[in-house]
Amino acid sequence: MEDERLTVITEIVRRCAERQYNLGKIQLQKMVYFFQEKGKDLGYTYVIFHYGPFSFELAEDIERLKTLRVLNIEPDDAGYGYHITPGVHSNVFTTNDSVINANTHALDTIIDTLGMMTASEIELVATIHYVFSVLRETNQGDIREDVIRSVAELKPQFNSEQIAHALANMPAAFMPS
Amino acid sequence: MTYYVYPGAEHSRFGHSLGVMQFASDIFDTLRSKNESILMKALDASLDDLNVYRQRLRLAALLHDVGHAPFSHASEDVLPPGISHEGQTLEIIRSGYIADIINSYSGTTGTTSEQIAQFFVPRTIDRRVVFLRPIVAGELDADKMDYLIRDSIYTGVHYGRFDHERLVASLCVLESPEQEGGMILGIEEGGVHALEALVLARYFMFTQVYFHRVRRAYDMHLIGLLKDVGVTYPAEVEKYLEWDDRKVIDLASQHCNNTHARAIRERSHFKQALHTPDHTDAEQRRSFQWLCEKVSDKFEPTKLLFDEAVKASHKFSKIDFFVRKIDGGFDKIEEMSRIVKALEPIEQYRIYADQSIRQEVGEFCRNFCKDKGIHF
Repeated sequence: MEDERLTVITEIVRRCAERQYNLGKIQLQKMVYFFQEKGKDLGYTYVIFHYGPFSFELAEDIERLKTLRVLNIEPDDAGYGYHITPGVHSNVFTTNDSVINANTHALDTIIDTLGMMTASEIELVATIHYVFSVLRETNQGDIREDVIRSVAELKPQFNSEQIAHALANMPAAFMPS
Repeated sequence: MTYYVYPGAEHSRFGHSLGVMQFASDIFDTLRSKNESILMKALDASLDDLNVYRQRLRLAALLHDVGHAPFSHASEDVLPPGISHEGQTLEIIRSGYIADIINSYSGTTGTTSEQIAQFFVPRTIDRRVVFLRPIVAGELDADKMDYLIRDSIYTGVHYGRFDHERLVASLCVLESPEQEGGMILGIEEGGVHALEALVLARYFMFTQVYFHRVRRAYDMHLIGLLKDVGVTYPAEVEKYLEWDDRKVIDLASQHCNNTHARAIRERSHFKQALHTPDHTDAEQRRSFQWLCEKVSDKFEPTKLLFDEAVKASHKFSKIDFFVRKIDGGFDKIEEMSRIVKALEPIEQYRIYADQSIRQEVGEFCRNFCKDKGIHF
């Protein structure tokens, strides 16, 4: 599992670099979050944190990959976040891994959709997905209003209209199953 | 098994739990004394409610480790698939053992066992729990503050000391500078050096105590024994709670011919034959994995142990932890502290061998590395 996790992280970074997407830690956290939802469960536990769904174990693995020189993590030009790119040892984790091959479509969909969003948009989409999934566990009815209310409580920087708009326009591939 | 290396380290998890409860209380009281209204806003609570949330936080801190298996993390490998100690904590709090006690007082306190359990539900969306939980388990939490100091005192090493009073006194609730209306736990600029001391304390406690080569060897002997005799901890709470440190040590007596049992009973652990640096890079890691295969082919696998000691030095990633500067502005901790920015995760790998073949294994490793141009 450990190498599988590191391989997926590295592959996301590699594909984002190929597409010239500006990848930061928030984006990478959320891409792995959706990969677990739509591709393969890597065993990362996500909790709601400052910027929506967040995995401490994943944050630790990202730092590990920096130490291993698999990833470069540098402050971005604006100084507010990071710019993550493949490091000198990124080839240690092969792109021909079975988990990558089996989930290429999901991976590309996630990268291409989230890669075009701002960090704030990604945070909102991922938080909506997370809250929706949690509430769905106990309620099979129409939970949209509950989702909007809960997301507004957790993320007061977004108002109800913004949340409702984001929920109504969630990319189909990102709706909770 | 730390007491095999540091004989004074015979302290209990109960003492630690009380310590975490005290630190959590101190942190909550600090936040309240600095700015009661902002804490009320963060918790969406009335003045009277603050005492209720303080009590819930204290109970969560007291109970945060009740799900640990014997010898803590060392024996987690024999938990059933899909079961974690965090999950067991949740189950135990919800069981009659804990829930009945908490609920018997709920008439006067208003606190129920399920409200405490919510601290341990990973996917909770209760904003009050989301705000309070990092005080018990976050980047800068009561758990770390207590275990570093407690382990330092009991082991007799000085690495784990830091100015905890200054650190707690510097914590504050911040209105998130990046998220209007969002409330987060942060630190005042005056406490940055105390925070750095905690980060360094943790780094050295890992390199010198928790990842000590002999201590790690005994952890592996412990798990080796449990696996050899076919132990899998039960998931069911009542049976799980029957397993304690004593029961595991008794296994070593009952299976005294087992290699790992003998190592534990006779303090004759496998010896380190090779180790990589504290901060191994990916090429070295790959070389190590290659070397392990060759060593396993050459020598009797039951006489070998392979260790991967990996831990982040800290989790103050740039997006997560803010400092309130003296001039009233905000900055991220990694911008304020070169120490936090510079410290990298510990990543060290080791090969151990039975004492009878240790020299031979060491020589084989050295020759292999020399032939292949591998440098650790």
